Amino acid sequence: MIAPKRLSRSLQSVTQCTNHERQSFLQFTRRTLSSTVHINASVESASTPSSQPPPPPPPASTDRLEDASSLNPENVFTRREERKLVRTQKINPVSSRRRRAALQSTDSVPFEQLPYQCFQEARKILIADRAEKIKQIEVQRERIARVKDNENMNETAKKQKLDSMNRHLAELKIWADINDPIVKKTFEDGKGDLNKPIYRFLADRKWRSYARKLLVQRITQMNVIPDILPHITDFPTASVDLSFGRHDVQPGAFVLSEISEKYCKLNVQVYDKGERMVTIVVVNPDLPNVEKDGFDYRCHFLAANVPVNPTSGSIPFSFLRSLGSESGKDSQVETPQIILPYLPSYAQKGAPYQRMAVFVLQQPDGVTLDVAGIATRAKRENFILRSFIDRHKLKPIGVNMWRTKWDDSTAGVMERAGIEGSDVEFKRKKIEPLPYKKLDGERYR
Amino acid sequence: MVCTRSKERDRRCKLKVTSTEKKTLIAQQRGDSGAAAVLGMSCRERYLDRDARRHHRRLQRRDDLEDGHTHDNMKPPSTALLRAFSPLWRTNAIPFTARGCLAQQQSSFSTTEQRMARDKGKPKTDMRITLIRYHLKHPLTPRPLRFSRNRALRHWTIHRAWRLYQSKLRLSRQLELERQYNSMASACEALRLIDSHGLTAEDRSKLGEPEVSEGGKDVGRLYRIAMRKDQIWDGVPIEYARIQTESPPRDGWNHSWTR
Repeated sequence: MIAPKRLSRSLQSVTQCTNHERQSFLQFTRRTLSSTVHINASVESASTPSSQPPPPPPPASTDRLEDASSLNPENVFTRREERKLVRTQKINPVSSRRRRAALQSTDSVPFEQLPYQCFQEARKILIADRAEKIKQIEVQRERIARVKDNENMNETAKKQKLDSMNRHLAELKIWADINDPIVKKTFEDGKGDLNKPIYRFLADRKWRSYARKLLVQRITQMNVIPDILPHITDFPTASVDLSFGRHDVQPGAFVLSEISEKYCKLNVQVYDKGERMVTIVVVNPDLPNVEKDGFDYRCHFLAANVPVNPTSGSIPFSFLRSLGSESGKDSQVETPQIILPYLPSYAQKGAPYQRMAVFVLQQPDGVTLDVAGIATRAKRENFILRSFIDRHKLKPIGVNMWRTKWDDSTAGVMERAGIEGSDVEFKRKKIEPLPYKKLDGERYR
Repeated sequence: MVCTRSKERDRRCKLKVTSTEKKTLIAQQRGDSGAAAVLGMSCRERYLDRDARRHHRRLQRRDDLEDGHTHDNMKPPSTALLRAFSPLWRTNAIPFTARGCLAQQQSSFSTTEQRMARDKGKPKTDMRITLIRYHLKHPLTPRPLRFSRNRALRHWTIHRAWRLYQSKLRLSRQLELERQYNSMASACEALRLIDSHGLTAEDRSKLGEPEVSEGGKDVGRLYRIAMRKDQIWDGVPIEYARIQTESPPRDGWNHSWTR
């Protein structure tokens, strides 16, 4: 009787895993089957050579005895062939064994034509909806054109109306493609073309779901905002990935001085269309100042006129053009980009850890900053980012940060960069405690 | 005298034993049997709680002093659960892949500090975790579905299509209701402007009839009759009517209602 047995099952016996028992049993049985096959083969090979001349070689078209080079990593699905593939061709089979086995027997049907009734009905509905949205997009485009051509309208009202109409048009474009499973699959595989609005939308949504939250948490916990910049709504809007050579840096992580010395690279991902020029600033707000018993700002890197668009945002600092590197060509003089070259981050011994914040600031439309002019005025010490932004009308779009403290490699980094003070150690000032005056016990019980 | 005392002892120990059955379960969860073995307790003592253990030891000491033979009036604890839990009697060969399944609950569920002074050093099992695992691992619970990539995409497509269809349906129903309401409202408005001959003020001026002020008792009489709400529910306003529903009301239960 199965039912009473189940009812009387106690708590602990139920919480024991039955799946694992089942799986291990299956593996055990499979092992015995394969081991018997091997035993038979060895028995046969032992018996034949002494008695008779060797049998003729088997025909080449048998499945079992495939040529090792003909094994396809996408097709192998027996363990023997997989092992053979790894041994001979030194590559691993592509995806799960079950999938590889299934692919042998099924026809390759494109995803949209898979013969599942509910799925096809759903596709019909979504296709009809997409057609509606496309019609609405055309109508909206005509309306926008009409409003643009309208000369009797007040300018500010016209601008406002066009803004809202364009926003609605962008929404319609997203709504047309958001239900497409192929779009979803392409995006999840990382193959989405970020020039298209739907992929930009999906990428932005993915970034905002976790990575941006983490970044904002780190930025606020470490007080980068509001120490360096005030709190701004909807900041950051572009994702900034920081790396030093092979080392990817999590926001707020401690980075060894020798690692942060070289090969600094930003990967800026903007989620709105169009190319724009950005300015990159690396600020250290924690430079200890003993005389004033506080901390100063210092700029570790300043570069402007860096072009960024949704498909290209990789900015290695070493690829940026420094001052005095103008090419001698007559046709095109490439504007220099680096105002203050990169100074490695370091923290002297005994000083608390220092935060290093990277800011990406968008320049106004079509504006190129005069790098040479700024370079004559720009100073590393007491660099106030707020003033810099106000002066050049920049808009902060991205941020990231890391932290440095004294480690074994800092002295070497400082010497190589020509910075004095690698032998300086900060010590805490001993403060005389205030004389303790014992208060009457009556009130402070 | 001795018999009654031993019977009383029996009764108390029996009661204590049943509560230790539960504690045995927890002890097994905690892996306490090992700790008990370290403390050098006898097999019998291990399955008693602190007071019963103390009592048992006191009895043993008294017996040793008196006779030299152990006092056997106390019944040993029931071995019903022992059979289920003792590792000696039922060995389950767990495959190495299932290591994590039998891991005992060690860290506390919440991040607030636990007051450990009372039960020193005993990791408290969280009943919530036990219950969750019980319900997940129960043989009658359906196992969680795991979809392949294409299967998941098809599921997502069907889900999106269904949600779209439902929202379109809801929207069309809402629009239909709005259309009906607006039609009724415009009909009432037209009625409001009509006099007893079915003419609006415009028609009257066209036909050359004498003008009648809108506030007159002729104009909109039928409208006013239509707007009357008496004798609909015989004194009870219709807003007080509420059909019985399966789900609870939006405003909930008014705990501070008074007559």
